[in-house]
Amino acid sequence: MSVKALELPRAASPFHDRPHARRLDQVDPLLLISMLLLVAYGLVMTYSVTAESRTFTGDPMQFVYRGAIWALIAIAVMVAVAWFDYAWLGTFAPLVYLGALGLLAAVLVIGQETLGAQRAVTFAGLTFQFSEIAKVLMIVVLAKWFADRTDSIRSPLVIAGGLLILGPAVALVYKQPDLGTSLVFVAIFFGIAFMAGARLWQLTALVALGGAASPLLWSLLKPYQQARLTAFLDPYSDPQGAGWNIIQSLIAVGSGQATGKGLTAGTQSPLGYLPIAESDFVFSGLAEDLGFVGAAILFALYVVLLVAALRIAYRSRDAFGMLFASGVVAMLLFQILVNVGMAISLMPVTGIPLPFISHGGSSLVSIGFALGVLQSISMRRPAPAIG
Amino acid sequence: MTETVSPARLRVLFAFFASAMLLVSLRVGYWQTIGRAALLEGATDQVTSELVLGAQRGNIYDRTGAILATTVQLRSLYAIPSRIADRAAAAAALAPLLGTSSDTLRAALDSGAEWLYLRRRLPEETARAVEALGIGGLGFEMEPKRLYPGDTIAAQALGFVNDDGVGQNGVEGAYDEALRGAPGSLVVERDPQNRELAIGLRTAVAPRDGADLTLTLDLVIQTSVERALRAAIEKERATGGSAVVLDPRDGAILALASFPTYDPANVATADPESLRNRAVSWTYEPGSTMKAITIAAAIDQRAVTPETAYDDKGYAIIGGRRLNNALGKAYGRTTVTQVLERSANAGAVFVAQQLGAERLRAYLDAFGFGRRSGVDLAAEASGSVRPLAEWYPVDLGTIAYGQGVAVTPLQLAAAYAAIANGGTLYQPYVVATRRDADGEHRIAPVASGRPISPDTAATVRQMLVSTVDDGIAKGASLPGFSVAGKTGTAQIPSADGSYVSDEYISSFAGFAPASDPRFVAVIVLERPQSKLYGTVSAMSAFRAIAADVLREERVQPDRG
Repeated sequence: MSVKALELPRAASPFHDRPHARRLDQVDPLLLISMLLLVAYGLVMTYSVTAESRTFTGDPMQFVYRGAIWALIAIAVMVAVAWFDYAWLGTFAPLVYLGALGLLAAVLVIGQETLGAQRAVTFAGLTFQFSEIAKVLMIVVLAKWFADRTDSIRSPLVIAGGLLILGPAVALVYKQPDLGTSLVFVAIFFGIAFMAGARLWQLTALVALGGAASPLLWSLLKPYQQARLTAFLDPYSDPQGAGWNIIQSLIAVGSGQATGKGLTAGTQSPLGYLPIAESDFVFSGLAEDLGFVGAAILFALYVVLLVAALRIAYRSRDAFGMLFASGVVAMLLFQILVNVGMAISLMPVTGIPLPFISHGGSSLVSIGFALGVLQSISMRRPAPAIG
Repeated sequence: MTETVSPARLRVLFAFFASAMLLVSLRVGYWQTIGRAALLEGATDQVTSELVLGAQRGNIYDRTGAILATTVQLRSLYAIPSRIADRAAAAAALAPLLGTSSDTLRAALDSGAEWLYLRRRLPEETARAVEALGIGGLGFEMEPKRLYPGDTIAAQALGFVNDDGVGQNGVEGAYDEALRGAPGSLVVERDPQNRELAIGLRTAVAPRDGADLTLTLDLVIQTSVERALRAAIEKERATGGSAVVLDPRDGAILALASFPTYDPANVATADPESLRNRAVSWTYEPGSTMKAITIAAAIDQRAVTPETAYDDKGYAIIGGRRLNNALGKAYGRTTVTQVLERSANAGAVFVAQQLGAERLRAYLDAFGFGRRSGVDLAAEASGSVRPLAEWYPVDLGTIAYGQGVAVTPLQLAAAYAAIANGGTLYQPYVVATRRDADGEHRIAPVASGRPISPDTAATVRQMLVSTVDDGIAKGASLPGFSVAGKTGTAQIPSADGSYVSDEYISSFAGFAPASDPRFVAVIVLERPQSKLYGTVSAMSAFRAIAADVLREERVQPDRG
């Protein structure tokens, strides 16, 4: 019997089913190539925006070296993860969930405070942002939850159950506080629920509920968060305060013009006008140094990567794989849009890294993990029907 | 079991992400093309800024090297009112230190200015006391302050430097460019904390410090002149006065005084009249001191000799007008020498008539009257000698004795210097050397003409000596030295062209020793209370000055 691509079986379990054979010829080349190019692009940008900064202390290349090490780790993680059948992840989803919550709780207990927030844990000389890893783990958990309930997806109880799973993770991240990452969790949830076939009215109702609760949520925000969220509407109302980042970012983007000032030639990042230039506002530095051409190349690579991920979702052998891929697409897309949107005054300022480009090992390794799972899904997809 | 997942949802997800990426790309493209103009300015403006590197203003020394003017760096207190937590408290704390009321300070802080000076160039101990208050929102910046160690000494000759560092009046004004030097500049990149960055583009132009000037003024002589002038003015309750001492051998100004005067430390509150350097800017009708010029001209033209005589009836009729001697005295037979000794107006008219208007006018011109001497001081007046075409016949007579013509004290001193030095008119000057990065530049004296021959000069010198020895200027004589000189008592013209009744300008112009003159002095007193006898005070001032100058210059007595 020929299997229609989208008539998917439920998540396979290595305990019940014969593990699907790895097929190296089914590695997704687009995903692999676009990923490697983006990693390289990220290293170039790290070099460019940090070239002149902090010159007085230490090696100007230290950021590049560290970024290269993280890139190698991320690729290694990707290969290792791709080697195993992703179905194992689904099988151990409850443990994965506990692990995610454990990591997020650990941050609150042993995390170091930087810029007023506990976000990072240092271990063996490397700094880990557990919330980056937790994002991918939550994709596993939510994909598994919905994949197991595709029959009863019409029931509001399934959605409610997903929300219950999501809730503690969001709360723990928010507590750090890291508003941006908690919003990424919400985006992942909606992406997976949508692709799982959740009723649109239920999702719409959720959004409406969120909208209705927004005054309450607003009041829970810290004043600096409130200021940052509204500043993008009119950055010039407080040019030295909340609007500063946005204005500096716009100046950087605008001065890049079509072809940019050239690598390391931008002034906004190395002189410290762009805050967190190698991470949150890395896109502004990229736009200043490489101009619209550089930005367009970046977007093209993202499009290739996301199209490849969607194609993997489309071809996945089971609902878990399809939903995991969808969750990854939702996560990356959300981060790209928010990060770039913030740099060009389309979105409020929230500290969300730009995938691959922002200098940050945990983010890169997490993405490596996610893309490894995607390759695992791709390699274990049903062979195209012959004949 | 299988569950159908709608491919439509994948397409929706794809459509959403594709359109979002498109939107973002368009937005980026917008900022990088159409919307960038305003943004780009900001990028370079905020990053680079040009620092001005101030040049040190040059010092001014007297001819012996004593410092007359120098510059120190003092701290100026500024405020950024919005950063002061409690303005009322800050005003109250500062008021006693700044010697002002807290209300005044409060008003300044509340004026809405983002940044303002509270007090510029504070004494260091006050600055420290303000610092000790530890009030946020206050700050200091260094500003140069011009100091005049001699206080009011030579105030008008030196001039002053205004709050913006621009020299005004006197040497400070005339040599502002040289003294000021050229500021350098440094283009630096700054980070958002306004720290200058050592990296990146910077262009530096080193500042060029101002030149040091050494003046011809002598602090000792200047002090003596000011003391003598002040004494005469106080005694006479004169409304003003001026004194100039020149070296007749080259026109170097040894001293130059002007009253009323002011304190250079408090220029802002000074009476504008006191800022005026009367020695170069006061145009007055000289009166009888001009007779020496008229007679020098006539002798040079051989129109008369010292022995030429006329019958003095106490007056002269010229142009249908009767011009009287002072107090209407009639002297009978009078020689030209006696015209000076007695200061006979009728005699001056007689001499002028022998010379003629044309030649008198030419000699006034040759002696430098009616035009600026070219002294290197700011705000010099030219005096006034009307063109010949505007002379009425009577003017020949009045100008002969110094009415209807206006001069400055310095012009008169330069003219007498020509008589003293054998006939050369030197351009008076006050800066002897300029020392800058290239080295020391001596400023050479400028001889601007030879109005009379050495013989004429010697003859007139002798006549002026007898004016002091035997004539009207006896009060100027000094033991041991031959003194040449002439008094002047002039009426003061009023606005309507007539003369103010019973108010005079008394003056004395003279030099010593007459055999080899080492200095020329002109002393002018405005409205002395002893009226026609104000010249007595002028002469005693001359004597006091002469005694000091001759001693200071170690001049050998030329008489037994």
